[in-house]
Amino acid sequence: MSKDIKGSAGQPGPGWGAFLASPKLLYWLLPALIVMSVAGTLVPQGEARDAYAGRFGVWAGLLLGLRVDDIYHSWPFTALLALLALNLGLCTWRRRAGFNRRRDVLTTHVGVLVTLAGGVATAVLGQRGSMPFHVGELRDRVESAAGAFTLPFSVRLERFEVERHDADRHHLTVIHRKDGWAETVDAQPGVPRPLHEGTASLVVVDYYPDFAMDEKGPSTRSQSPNNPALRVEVSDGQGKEKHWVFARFAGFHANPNSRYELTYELAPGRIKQFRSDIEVLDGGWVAGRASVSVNTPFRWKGWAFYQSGYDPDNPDYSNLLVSRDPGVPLVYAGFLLLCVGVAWTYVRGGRQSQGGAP
Amino acid sequence: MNMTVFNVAFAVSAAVLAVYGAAYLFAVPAWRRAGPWVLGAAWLLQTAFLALRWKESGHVPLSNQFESMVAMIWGLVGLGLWFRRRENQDWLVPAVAALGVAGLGVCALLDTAMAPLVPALQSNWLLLHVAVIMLGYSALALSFIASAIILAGFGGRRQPDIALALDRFNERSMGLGYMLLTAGIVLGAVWANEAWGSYWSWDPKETWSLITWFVYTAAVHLRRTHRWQGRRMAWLAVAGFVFVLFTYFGVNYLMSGLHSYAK
Repeated sequence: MSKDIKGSAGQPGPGWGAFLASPKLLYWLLPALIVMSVAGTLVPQGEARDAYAGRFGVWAGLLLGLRVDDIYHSWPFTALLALLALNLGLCTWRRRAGFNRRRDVLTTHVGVLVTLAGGVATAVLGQRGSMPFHVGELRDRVESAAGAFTLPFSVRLERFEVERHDADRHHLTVIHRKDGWAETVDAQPGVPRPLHEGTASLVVVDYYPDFAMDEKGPSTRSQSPNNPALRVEVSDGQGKEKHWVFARFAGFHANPNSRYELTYELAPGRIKQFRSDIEVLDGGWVAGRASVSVNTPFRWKGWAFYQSGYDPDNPDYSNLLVSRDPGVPLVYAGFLLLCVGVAWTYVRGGRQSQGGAP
Repeated sequence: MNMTVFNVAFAVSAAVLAVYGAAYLFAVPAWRRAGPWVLGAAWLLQTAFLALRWKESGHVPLSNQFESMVAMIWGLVGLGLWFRRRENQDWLVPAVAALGVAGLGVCALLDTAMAPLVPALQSNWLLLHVAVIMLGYSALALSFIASAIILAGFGGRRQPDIALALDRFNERSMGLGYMLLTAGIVLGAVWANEAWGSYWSWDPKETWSLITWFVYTAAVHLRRTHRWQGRRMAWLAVAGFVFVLFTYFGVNYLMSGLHSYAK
């Protein structure tokens, strides 16, 4: 589209064809794409219709009519992208002879066109959905907004783990019922904590991440913090008091006659990684095993599995995103051409500024 | 230790302005010769700060707004010194120092705490994608500086040589920024495909990066096809940098999306 290649063979003539191949059209398309893209970041995308009515009132109907709720998949936006591709394609074709001297620009233009073609391939041929799992579950069905589909093999979630950078922290607030003082301490099992300038102390005797009571007494069902409970001992000059405190059930099992009132809050350690160990069953037997984590997908027969979700209240639950995208190689080829073309143009510009050919 | 080096780097960057201020006040132009050396020292201190932070945190210092902005200032100062030497643009030293001091001042207001990486950022793509984007923003900041100087009236019709040099510098810095922005967006898309299973999700950060890319695409084409240069191109470069600032700051603080950890 550069002026220095204008006037060469294939120069655009008058008429619609010339306009469609001209930079003038580009200067209409780019602002239009900018305006629509901005609108898509200001109006929430893909929400239920009622949500727009609540948020935008009388304007909701207009926004929904114009498909601003899903603007990037709406026909006006798609039409603008198609026009951009047409403009770029015609511009490149009609000035092809001149591109012998500007192969950098040609490479850039072809890069954008190939990327857009890859995008079309993704939209038409790509399949994408989610597989919600519980540990032990075997599935081959993938849930998708466009309708569920079935994989040609099955996947079982063997194990799901949330790795953390640091240990869980137990925040205990202690209130002296008679004197009225209150203090919050960061407690760790087995480590005594002084209270009220050393006049009292507290120690966590036992920690049950997933508290349960059976015939043998208190126990934990798992190491996941589903029902965190602490057995706490508070000591002062009048003796020792033992308390049960539950993070999810404040006041449960509290003794109104005790000297202290305790509340417990569990602050989970910062998450380091989510890891799903899966096995693939293909043709009736286990064909492969893999560990899927964020940034480490697993690929099998053209399908890719990504760690995409978990449930803090259910440690056995993991959601995997499943995708098959034949457009990716085209898109990557386009990306490569685009980067090479833009870099080439920059280097060429530098040479010219140093006295090279204009 | 870490923040002490940052504070010293900040002070030395400010010293560049003091050198130029003193040269002007006391009418000793020769003092300005010290400017590039002092700015070079500030850049080395910024380099030391980033290296120390990398060592202490155990990950590349590009994981939050504070770290990425220091990296952007580091790129701005480094590219400024490089362009000054390569293209003999002495005015770049005080201009880059002024923007660098302002930028480091903003950094000091941000959350400077080191934190372990969230799962989404635990990837080698973090270095590639964010470093390239930040370096692109640095180059576009240089284009913004040149444009601001043009719009302030320097290098007008009475000084055609200066006007030409400023415009040429605007073109080169914008070209470099455009190239790096393109590469940064592409690297981000490839990383997104590895992490989220989709190279493009119309997340606000992605979308605003694309919008910024559209603006600079228009600028690059207008220069070639309509010979936009001088003040007109300077206005466009300033507008483009407003989009850069919104993509970098505005999206982080005003919009939520897949890049929300970037605050």
